[in-house]
Amino acid sequence: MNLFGDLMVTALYTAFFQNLVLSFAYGSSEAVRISLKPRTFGMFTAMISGFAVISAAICRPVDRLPSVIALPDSVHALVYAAVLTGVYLVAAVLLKIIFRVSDHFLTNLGIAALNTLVLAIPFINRRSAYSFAASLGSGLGAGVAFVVAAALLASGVHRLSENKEIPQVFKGTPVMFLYISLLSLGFAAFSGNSLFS
Amino acid sequence: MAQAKNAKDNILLKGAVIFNPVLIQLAGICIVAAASTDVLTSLIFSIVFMANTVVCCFIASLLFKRLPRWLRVALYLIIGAGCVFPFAYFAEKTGISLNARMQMYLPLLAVNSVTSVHCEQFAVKNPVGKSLEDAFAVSIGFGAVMLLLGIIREIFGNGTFAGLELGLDVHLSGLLMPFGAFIILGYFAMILKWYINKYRPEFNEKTAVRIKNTQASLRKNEDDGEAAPSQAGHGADDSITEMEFLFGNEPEEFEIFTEFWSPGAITAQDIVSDMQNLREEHEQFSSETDRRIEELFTNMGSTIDFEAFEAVPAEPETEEPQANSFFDADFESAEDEKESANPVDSENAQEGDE
Repeated sequence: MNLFGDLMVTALYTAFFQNLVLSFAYGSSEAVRISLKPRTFGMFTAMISGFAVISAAICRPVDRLPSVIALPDSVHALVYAAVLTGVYLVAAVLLKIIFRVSDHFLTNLGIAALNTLVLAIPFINRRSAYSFAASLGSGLGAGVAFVVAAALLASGVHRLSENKEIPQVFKGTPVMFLYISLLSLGFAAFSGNSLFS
Repeated sequence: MAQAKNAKDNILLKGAVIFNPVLIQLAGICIVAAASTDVLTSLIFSIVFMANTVVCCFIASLLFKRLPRWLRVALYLIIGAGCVFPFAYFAEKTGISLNARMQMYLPLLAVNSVTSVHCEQFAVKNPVGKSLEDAFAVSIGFGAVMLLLGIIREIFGNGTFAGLELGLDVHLSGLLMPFGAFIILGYFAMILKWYINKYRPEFNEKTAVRIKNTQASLRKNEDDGEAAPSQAGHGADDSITEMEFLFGNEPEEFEIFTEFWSPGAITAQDIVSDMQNLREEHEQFSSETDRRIEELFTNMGSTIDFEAFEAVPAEPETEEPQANSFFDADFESAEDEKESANPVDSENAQEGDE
């Protein structure tokens, strides 16, 4: 029960209070991209959530290996990158052989697997000294955070695109950045930090 | 000679300014928003980014042209790791002015989307020389945004410049958080849009952000049996469509086809003639699908109201990296790369043109 509690609490914290995408900008490029391509929303968010959980599940035990635990941060980063690449390549080869998926699908899989959000999860787990269950929760929460961020962005971007009152020079990327900043500000409110001291 | 110089200037101007990887292509936002909290950190990240991008583009242009795309995506991370992690190790050991949080962001440069997109979109399709020019141009564009952001955030967020106390009584600590970066980026992008609108209007449409409504579809009119246009894109009718029917056994082909078009005004003739492009680009299109498409659009064209659909014309293959949306291409298959801009928000684009 404690394990499940750890997992859920960390997942909820990561997804809603400390939304990694909007509060810390991890994977924000991918979230913006998904908001512009609603058709791939479900597939891509599922992929990114899956890889976030898998990378958390593998990297945390690896982190605790006696030969790894004392290594500098930068070498840990190298280990995480290697794990991530390995997971992606194994998944891609299996999908290619067993399900004969298209190269297009695999390319999207690669982008979902190899991005700042998924690579950041093992770092966060290590720095926060999360248990294995909490690490899994962190990965799960990161996936949910991505879904939340992408959904909020998609909704806003569509409204912005229909708004005729936006001045010409603000249309497009300027208003998108400002919209993201408002979302980010909303989640920053949960951080408890003083924003304008 | 003069032409060659102009071409180089063109690549620089487009790569660094007009198609700025951050402000226009919306790539690499994570690193820019999170890491550019002060001038020195921004400078270090810009240098590492340039090294990473140049090496990646060089190797991609030299060796990766024949590898499948899904494999190249992983190789970019491996090369990026090779470039970034030695520097991260050096920074960690020598205590270069990077705080603990920044040290975490440095390795994330290995997976930054700008590098992989430029490798994929340009380097693997062009000779080494041009790829390097593009890599330098995009690095300059990325670095300029990082540095400007770092200067503003440090001065107004910390009241310092490069660590030196300025004696300003301004401490907007919110600017040091990502949302502060997004606000400033919004104004940077606004200035760039103003420049493009005023001085380079020919790039207005190509730099517009568009939402890709890829669910353009035709559905049967249940009353009279004739096909009628459905509302494409958001809120599109999910009923079985003519095109879905056509591609029923070939979902991959349907995906390619719908990605090729987006809502707007097209004619049956447009579709039929452009099908030739699709055939040439996608050998996997089966002849049976091909035949069925032609049959549909030639025989049924007069009964289908195409007014609600608009062609997104495919651009001819170009050697210029900036003619495409790199950001888009990062995630899409080759046929998408041919689109000059993200397909949506057509209103915005049209207004921009006006």
